[in-house]
Amino acid sequence: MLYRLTEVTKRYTQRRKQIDALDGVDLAIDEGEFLAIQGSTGSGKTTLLQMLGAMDRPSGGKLEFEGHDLVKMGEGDLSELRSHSFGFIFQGFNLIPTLTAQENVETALVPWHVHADERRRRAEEALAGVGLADRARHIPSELSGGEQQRVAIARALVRAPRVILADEPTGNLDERTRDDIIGLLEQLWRERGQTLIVVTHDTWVASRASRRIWLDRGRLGEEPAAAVPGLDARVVAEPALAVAGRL
Amino acid sequence: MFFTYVFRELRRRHRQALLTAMGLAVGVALVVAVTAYAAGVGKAQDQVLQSLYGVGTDITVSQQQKMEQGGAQRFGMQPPDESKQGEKFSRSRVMTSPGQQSISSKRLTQIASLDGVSAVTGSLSMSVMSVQGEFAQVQGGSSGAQPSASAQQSGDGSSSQQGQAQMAPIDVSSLSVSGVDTTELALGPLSAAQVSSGRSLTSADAKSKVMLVTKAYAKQNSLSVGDVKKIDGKKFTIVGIVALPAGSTSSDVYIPLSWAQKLSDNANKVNQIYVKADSADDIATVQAEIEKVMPKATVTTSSDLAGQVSGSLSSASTLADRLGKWLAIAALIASFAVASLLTVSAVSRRVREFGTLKALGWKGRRVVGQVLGESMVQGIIGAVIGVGLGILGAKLIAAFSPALEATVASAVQSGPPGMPQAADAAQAVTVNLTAPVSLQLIGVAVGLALAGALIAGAFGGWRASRLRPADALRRVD
Ligand SMILES: Nc1ncnc2c1ncn2[C@@H]1O[C@H](COP(=O)(O)OP(=O)(O)O)[C@@H](O)[C@H]1O
Ligand SMILES: [Mg+2]
Repeated sequence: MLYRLTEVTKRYTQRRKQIDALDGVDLAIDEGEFLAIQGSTGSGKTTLLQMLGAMDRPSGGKLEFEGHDLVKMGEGDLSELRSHSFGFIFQGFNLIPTLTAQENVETALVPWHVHADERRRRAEEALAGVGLADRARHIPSELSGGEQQRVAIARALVRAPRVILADEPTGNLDERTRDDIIGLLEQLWRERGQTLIVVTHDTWVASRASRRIWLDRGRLGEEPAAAVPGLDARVVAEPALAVAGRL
Repeated sequence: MFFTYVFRELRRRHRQALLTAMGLAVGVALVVAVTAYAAGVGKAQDQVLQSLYGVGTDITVSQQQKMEQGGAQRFGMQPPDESKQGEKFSRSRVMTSPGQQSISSKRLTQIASLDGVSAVTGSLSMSVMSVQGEFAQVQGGSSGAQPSASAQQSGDGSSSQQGQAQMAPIDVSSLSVSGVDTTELALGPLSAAQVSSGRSLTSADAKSKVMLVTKAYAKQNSLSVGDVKKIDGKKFTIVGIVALPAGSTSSDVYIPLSWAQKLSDNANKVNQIYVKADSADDIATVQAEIEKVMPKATVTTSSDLAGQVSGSLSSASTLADRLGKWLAIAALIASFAVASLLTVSAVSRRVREFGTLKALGWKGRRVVGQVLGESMVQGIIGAVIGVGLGILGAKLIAAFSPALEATVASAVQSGPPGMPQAADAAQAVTVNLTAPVSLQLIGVAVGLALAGALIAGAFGGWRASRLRPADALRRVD
């Protein structure tokens, strides 16, 4: 068991109005899972991902990662945990606009204080791993959306984290690029055995996952009736078998 | 990574970065220019004070003479007997400076023993009037005319029509002489003197008949080193020609104090005392102490004298002090505020960027360091531009400001008065304004620019430190 969430709540206060972005979430995630978090806009997907990625602390409940309750951790420990255990991929890519692809990947190694040469070598390796060895010296604005997201994936992978967390990673991409990126993530997930948690409202993307959960107004719920059960069952079964095979 | 990131970011927003640097530069440049101007005015003031007062002198002491003692001096020009009528004559008369009473040398030791006094010396200044001509031919008896010449009425012989008619051309000349303590030349009337030929006086000259002549007097009278000049019949050898600061109230010649005392019949007396205090802080105390010891004396400090400086120099000094200082401070505060605002706004536009770095595990202080680094580079650029602008401004001030005039009312006897008529005349000195930029000032300017950058960076860093990793997911752009 990698994660165990018990009655996790997250309450935001905005203009004296309180919003329960997460309202008592119970969830267990195993090591090596490819989990898709689905739900409509405002249902709390991003908030849940932030909690899982130690970017923020829940307002209540218990959120255990490898047995440690993140709710009780200090800012420094959370920062340490993020730099060692998590890799993030964002919808907007979130690359530093002034730094080259290579340097952007290197930023992930800054908290580790690795030697500059070692840092460079590892970043080159990670870029080669996402097929961008020849674009290392380009700044983000010189790259296509798909290439930028590949750089971001290289940045997430360069530290070989336990968990990769992606928030709508293909939300800003066209369909073909989306397939490329999801294909890449899936391939890396298979090769490396990392846990992959993807927030998406794209059914096709979710269909690649080994498990899918739905959020509705901050609570875990059932798959909406609109979805086609037969198709889903078949698609879900495949990766699940793949996981079983690797274990 | 640190520097790469800093420089890339500054290049990206180079306009804004340059604006921030320029803001700091303008503030710093004003400080440099105003300080240089104030230093120039201060220097001009020192120059004036030095020329009137001597270098290194903190306090002068003199004693006013009672009025009746300053009457007309009579020369012994009555012909000794009738047989000498029409013969050539040459007479001189030595008198200590009118208005100043002589002071016993014992006072010097007394002042030297006071707390806070570092050195004391005295000088005796006097005028030597010489009259050369022929004795009048008195017609019709010896009782009629008593030719007399008075120093104060030089050339005005209207007192006796009869006498005037009979008066042969008489050449009246006056020489101002100062007796100086040859063992203590660093203090006193010769402290600012520069030897232009020959040598200065030394302690070995204390009893010799030697003299220093000022450049102006030497030129006027075609005197050079090695020449012999008579004072009241005594022959003095010129050992050096000295230059004194422009506008100084110098005597024409300087001789050892002991000879000045002999010539003027003032054994062990001086008429001007020069005091140097241990430090500037001691001056007021020493002044008070001397006033206690010598209640009748006029005790003047250099700041008393500075207070009496009037004219364009004193307006310049007021300008530098009041307007300049506040202008510089206001500009500095404004430039710091502008730099801070620009830096904070630059950080605010990078919420997602810093949020992402925090999500990647960058520590808060690493992000703050990045913002500070950017700000410091802007500060360095601002310092360079600011110092450059400041030096340029100082040069322009020095080039375009008119020569400053200073007038010192001589109610206080300052320095050795030369001619008798100097007693109540104002002394005017013209000095050129400089605006010196010292290395120290450049150091301060660079320090201020960096301090401004640090303040701006601290504000920016504070803003950045409040960002949370979750801000990486905020949709701001
Ligand atoms: N920082 C925040 N402050 C206040 N309200 C927030 C904040 N983040 C999210 N919310 C609110 O919490 C709810 C869930 O948001 P989010 O997790 O972003 O949903 P999703 O990613 O599923 O669209 C929304 O109603 C949103 O307005
Ligand atoms: Mg979201």
